[in-house]
Amino acid sequence: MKSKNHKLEENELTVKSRTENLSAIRNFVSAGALEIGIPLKIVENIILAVDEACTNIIKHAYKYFPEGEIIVKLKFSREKFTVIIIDHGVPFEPETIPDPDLQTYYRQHRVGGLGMYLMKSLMDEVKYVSVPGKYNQVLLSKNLLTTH
Amino acid sequence: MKFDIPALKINQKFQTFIVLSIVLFGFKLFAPGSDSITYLLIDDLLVGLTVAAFIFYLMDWIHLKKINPLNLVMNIGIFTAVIFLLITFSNTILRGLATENNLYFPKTGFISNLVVFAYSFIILGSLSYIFLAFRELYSLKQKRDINTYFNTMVVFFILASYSTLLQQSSDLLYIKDTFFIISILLIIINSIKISWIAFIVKKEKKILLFLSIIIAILFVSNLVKNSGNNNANLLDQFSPALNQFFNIIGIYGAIYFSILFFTTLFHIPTAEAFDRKAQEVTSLQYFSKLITEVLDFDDLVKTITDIASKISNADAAWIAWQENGGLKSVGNNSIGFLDADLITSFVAENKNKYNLNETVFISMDKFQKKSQLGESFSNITVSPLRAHNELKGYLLTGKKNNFLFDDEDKNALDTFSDYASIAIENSRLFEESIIKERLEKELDVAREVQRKILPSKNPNYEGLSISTVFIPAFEVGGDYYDFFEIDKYTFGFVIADVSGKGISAAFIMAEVKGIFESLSKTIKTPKNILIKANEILQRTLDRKNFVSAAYGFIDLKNETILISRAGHCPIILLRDNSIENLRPSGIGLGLNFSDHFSNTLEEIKIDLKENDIIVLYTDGITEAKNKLLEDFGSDLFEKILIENCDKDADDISNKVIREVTLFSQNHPQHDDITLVILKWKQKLKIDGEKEWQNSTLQPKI
Amino acid sequence: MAEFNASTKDLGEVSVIYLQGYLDAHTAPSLENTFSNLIEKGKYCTVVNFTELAYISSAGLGVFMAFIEKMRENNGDIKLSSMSDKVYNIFDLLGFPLLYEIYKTEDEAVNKFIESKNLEK
Repeated sequence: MKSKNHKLEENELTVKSRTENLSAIRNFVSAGALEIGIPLKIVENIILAVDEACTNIIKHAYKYFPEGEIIVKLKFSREKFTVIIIDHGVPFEPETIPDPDLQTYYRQHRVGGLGMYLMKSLMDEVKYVSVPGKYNQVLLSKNLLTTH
Repeated sequence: MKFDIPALKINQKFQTFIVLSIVLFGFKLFAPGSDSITYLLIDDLLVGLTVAAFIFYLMDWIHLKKINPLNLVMNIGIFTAVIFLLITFSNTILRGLATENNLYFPKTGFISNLVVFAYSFIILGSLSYIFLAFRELYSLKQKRDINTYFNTMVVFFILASYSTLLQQSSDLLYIKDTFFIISILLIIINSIKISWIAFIVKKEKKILLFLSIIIAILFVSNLVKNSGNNNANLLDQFSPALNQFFNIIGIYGAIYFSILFFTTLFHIPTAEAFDRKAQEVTSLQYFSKLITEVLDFDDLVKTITDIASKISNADAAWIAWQENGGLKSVGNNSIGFLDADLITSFVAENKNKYNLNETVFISMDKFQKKSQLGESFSNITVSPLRAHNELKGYLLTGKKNNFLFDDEDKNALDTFSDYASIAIENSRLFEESIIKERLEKELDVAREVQRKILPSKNPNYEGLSISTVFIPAFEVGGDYYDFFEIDKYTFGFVIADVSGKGISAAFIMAEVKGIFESLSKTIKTPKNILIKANEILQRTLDRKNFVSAAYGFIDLKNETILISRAGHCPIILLRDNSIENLRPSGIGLGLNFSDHFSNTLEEIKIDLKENDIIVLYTDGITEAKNKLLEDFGSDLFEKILIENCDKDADDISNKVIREVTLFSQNHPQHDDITLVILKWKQKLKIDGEKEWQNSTLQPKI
Repeated sequence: MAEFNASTKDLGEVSVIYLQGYLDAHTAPSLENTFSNLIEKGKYCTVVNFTELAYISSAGLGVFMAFIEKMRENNGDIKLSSMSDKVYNIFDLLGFPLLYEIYKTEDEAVNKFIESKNLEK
């Protein structure tokens, strides 16, 4: 029985890098997550994190170029729900973006960086890798076996 | 001048080359041979374009492969040898053909043309490759961008080659000679730039010494054979410019490899020491780099994989870290999460097949899921990461497109993975000690706060015996009780439990104490005290915390008790050997800030009888667990209370605590335990105010 | 059905913006327009009613960041009201309650404006 637990299910969606596709991405992720019985509250957090990641890709990796590709892959095991988002745009290091200081933001009229902070707050793991000249991947994962 | 045509893909470049070759061939075949300048100009231009197209095509190819310098030298050697054989071949066999050609056949003869074309084309190709190889060698390990020197030289190569067209008129011959001499000077200057030999190891230097002398000799002999004999005629006949280019490359080769030979010769004696030194320096650098990164595990693993892929010349690196009984990819460098996971699981499945005590090479040929990989990783290395002889994970590096790792990579990775293991272990210990220290400090503070908040002594009233027991959990649980002397006839008590644990619970406790202390002085009923407390807590409690509490007044004069309860455990009234759970309704403090709170909050009044016992407690008692994780439970609690109801307050609480302790031995206590027992012993005999003041009401402390 | 809609109600000095649907990077420009229009008309006292907002991402939050100072410079404000717990939690996570006044009901928020205007007079 134990060996079966390690089997991973997979699912994939490919869309163009346009903000109009954000809702399709959210629907795709929430359908996948709800299907395996993740509580709605957690699903809401996951889709917000995925939305933020994709918004970043559209803005920073593709710089609003509308024909880029965004591939969203879902992986889940008993312990973990993982979303991997792949793009072929310009590499950017989300991990290096510092947590926002709202007061400074307020003074400077800045709005970026909030998304990154949200992703880190809402998910258990946020990782980024860039394979130069090939693709970039953002990995978001949520542990499912937490006690609370 | 920059050799780059980004618009064209490799395939297109190759197609351009093919098209130009066909045009050239057609031109050679069908255009009548002539010595006219126009003919020679078109001819040489076509040849030049073909060479250029081929060079551009080869350039991408060479860049893609990232050939190492020794291989480049070896390849130059092979092509020089090919040219050498070709010239020798032409001297013996084509001699007749060339002569006959001149005598009997027109220059447009098909067979001779074909032979000359093929011959010239092989030389053209070889020259192009050699030229490019020189360019690669030139740019190896150059610290600054000094392509200008090389490009200037190339311009003079072209000028020198094309100026051969001018040799028809001997007046202009000096132009050709001038360009030629400048080219040679530039060759000498550029040939000195061979700093790359300092970066190869001793073994390779020995091979290089051997190769460079042979290649130098080959270049010289090619030059000699080409000057004035048959080959020159053929090549000259094909294209004078190409012939001149051949000479220039020949001279370049002879000079470059002679200089290379002597430089290497002088480098050999010190090579070994240099190697060792270089390795020590780099290792030290890497190590110091790792040491500074211990503060953050994520940063550390990124640095490790970055260095690992550099020292092993790999395309990608990552760490498979042991966590929760599985391997997890961390610190991915130039490899996607999916690819890394796939390869990691392949290694995990087959780890018994390989001796993973040191760095091993694993070919991906046997990897069945190879087609699922996003990129074509063909070979990987796996190095164990250990701390205190315990396997913590593996450091993996990968190469694509069938490139192999060598022993040097293995040695580098072996040494480096030891450093990496230490760094990772340090980082982990560091993190643990910080967390532990912070936790301990926090708990010390929390315990201190709690100790100061709880009353140090119980008030002593005649007629009312009070017993309190408080057993803190290791992590402060947030229990609180207190007594207040409201006025001469009224005794107030409160018991509360703050949600959460540790320092945050302790601070809320302190706040709650302050609130109840001040409210008890001004507000006359338990209900109103709780309503006001809830209002005040709205400003300070965040959404996560709440406080359960029960507040009561005992009227010593009228022998009544007034109780209100906000989400706390029931208050037990023990009377005549039976239990009554008093459950006035009420929501916990901090959960609701609307009128709903006050609307639902009840206050009950009970007349006290002799020997009535009031028991206040927190869920630390009823939820105390044994090793089977069963709760102590309220039934058992009530049973013990009834059995001991004729004893005095202290004895009852001792009995309860003993039973709870017995029940939950072998299981750590998770929450604070608080028990307050009030026993009304006798009716006070009060005749007047004065007597009151004199006799009973002053607490004897 | 439109993904997102922002409609405005004019209450004299105070304007109320009703948000509906999903506010993300795609729909945020529409809300920006709504705010820009109010500023053009010189209306700086705004209450945003979140009752029917189902979803908000940081791009949506950014719109409030972009306009708040302009409003306050002109003696106005953006007050937020009637958020669902879900939306409130996102605002809370980013510390917005420190920067914005958030009320349970639209009336409360509108009354705050009127009270402060009366004080000025």
